Amino acid sequence: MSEIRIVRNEAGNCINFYGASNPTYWNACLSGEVDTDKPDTINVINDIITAQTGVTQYEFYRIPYTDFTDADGNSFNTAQEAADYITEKANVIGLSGEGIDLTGETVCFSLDATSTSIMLDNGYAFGVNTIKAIPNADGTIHIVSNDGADNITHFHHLDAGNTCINGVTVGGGLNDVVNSLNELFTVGAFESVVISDPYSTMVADVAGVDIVSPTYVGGNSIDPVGADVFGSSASGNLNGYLSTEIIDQAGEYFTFDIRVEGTIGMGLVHSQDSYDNGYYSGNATYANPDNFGTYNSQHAGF
Amino acid sequence: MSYKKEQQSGYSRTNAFSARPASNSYEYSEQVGEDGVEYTAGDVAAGTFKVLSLSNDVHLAMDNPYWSTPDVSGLPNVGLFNGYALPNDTVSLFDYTYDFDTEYPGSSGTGFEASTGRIKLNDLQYGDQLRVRFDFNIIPQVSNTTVEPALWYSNRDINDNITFTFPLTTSPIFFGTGTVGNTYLNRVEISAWIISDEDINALTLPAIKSDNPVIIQPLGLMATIIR
Repeated sequence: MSEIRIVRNEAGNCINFYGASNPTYWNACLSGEVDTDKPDTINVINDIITAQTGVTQYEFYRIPYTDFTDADGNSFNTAQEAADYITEKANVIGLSGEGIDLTGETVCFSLDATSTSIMLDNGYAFGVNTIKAIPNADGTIHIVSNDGADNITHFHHLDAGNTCINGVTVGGGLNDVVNSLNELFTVGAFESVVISDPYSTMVADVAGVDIVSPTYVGGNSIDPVGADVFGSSASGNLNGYLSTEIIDQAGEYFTFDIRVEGTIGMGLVHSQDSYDNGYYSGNATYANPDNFGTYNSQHAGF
Repeated sequence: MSYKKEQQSGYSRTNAFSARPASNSYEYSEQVGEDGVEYTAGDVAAGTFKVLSLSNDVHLAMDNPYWSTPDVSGLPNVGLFNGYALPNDTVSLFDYTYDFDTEYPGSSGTGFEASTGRIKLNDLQYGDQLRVRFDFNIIPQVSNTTVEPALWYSNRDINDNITFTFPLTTSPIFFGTGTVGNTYLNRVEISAWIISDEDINALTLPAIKSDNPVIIQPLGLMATIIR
């Protein structure tokens, strides 16, 4: 008998004693105790049979606490610590936060048609932005609740090489796969964003840069309902909402939080450097960012 | 007393296992140090046949006839029956004072290291059959445990050189769910032929192997010689 590793099995709602000849017991059936005569050993008691018969029924008897490890293979410092760990892991109400072990499993992730749900091909599904992939020190991926604390694990020990998105194996190393998963989980810019209903809300970014100082350019521009919305008081005006942020690095992108109905146009305007370096085609006057909102804006790039 | 000298077969009995705790009148109890021999996870990993020694002190304390008729008090104290039922020309079937490490200083790897006592076969004859009933308690410590009782057996040539060492096993015993922490008495019988000088000069003691930790409480041996 090798060491006995104690693991709460979320999927099976049971506790596993890896390395033991009887490795599986249902949740809420066992408890651990320190043996009174041999305090460096522990007993594991079957509480159900003990309650039925009135006679203590052991599942492990006088086993040195040093023969056990926790789920991660860490030794216990005392017999009491080991006994308490067994009692805790064998009596879990609701989710324990330890998640399902995906060791050796291949899992494919995808979004539903409206990009509001993340679907796993093992049958689980989560809302977008509710889960997060994080790299584990052992080189595998853990999928945790995206609550900021990262302490509720839905799945663990997913091999990066066994991960696919939309049916395609994700390339690159551990962090590449993690980034790709999080891109999917947050419906990032490289994911397909579906707007099938102009009344619906679309949120397509996390951790981006909020444009807090928008610039309204052109005549008759107004701010009807707040900083996020721009409008015009007259038809046929040359005006626009010009971001002060510049895309000048590979991978940067803009996202848009559309909250009201309307006809919305959006596009890119040359930066002054881009314009000055001649990175435009067509009419130089229309491409000049200085002319945005003041000189036939439709031809100035938006 | 000259009883049964016409009889060929015979037997002897001893309760002289050294594991019996002197601190508790040689009886096992639940208390620490008195509950028997621990077959540990390390033994499991090593696949050890744990050899169980005999002790002359325990023999003197435990092998005492509790009856008065027949009176065996005048016979040599070589077992519980004082040699009353031994086969012809056999002085004793047990040697309680044999010390392996003294006989084989520096030995390693035989399995007998640090053992004392032995089942003594030196008075036997070619063609005898040895049958040993090995009485022991087992306390399983983990469900689904298989225990293999055996005689740990080393053939020796006439110069006491060990030639072959092996376990003479009997049927394994399985302890399933619901057995952990309980005490189970086992009385298994193990047989061996005595057909050569190397058998007559063999060393043997009972031994136990297990695939999980168990607590062993060796109780007694009944060695029968069938002719």
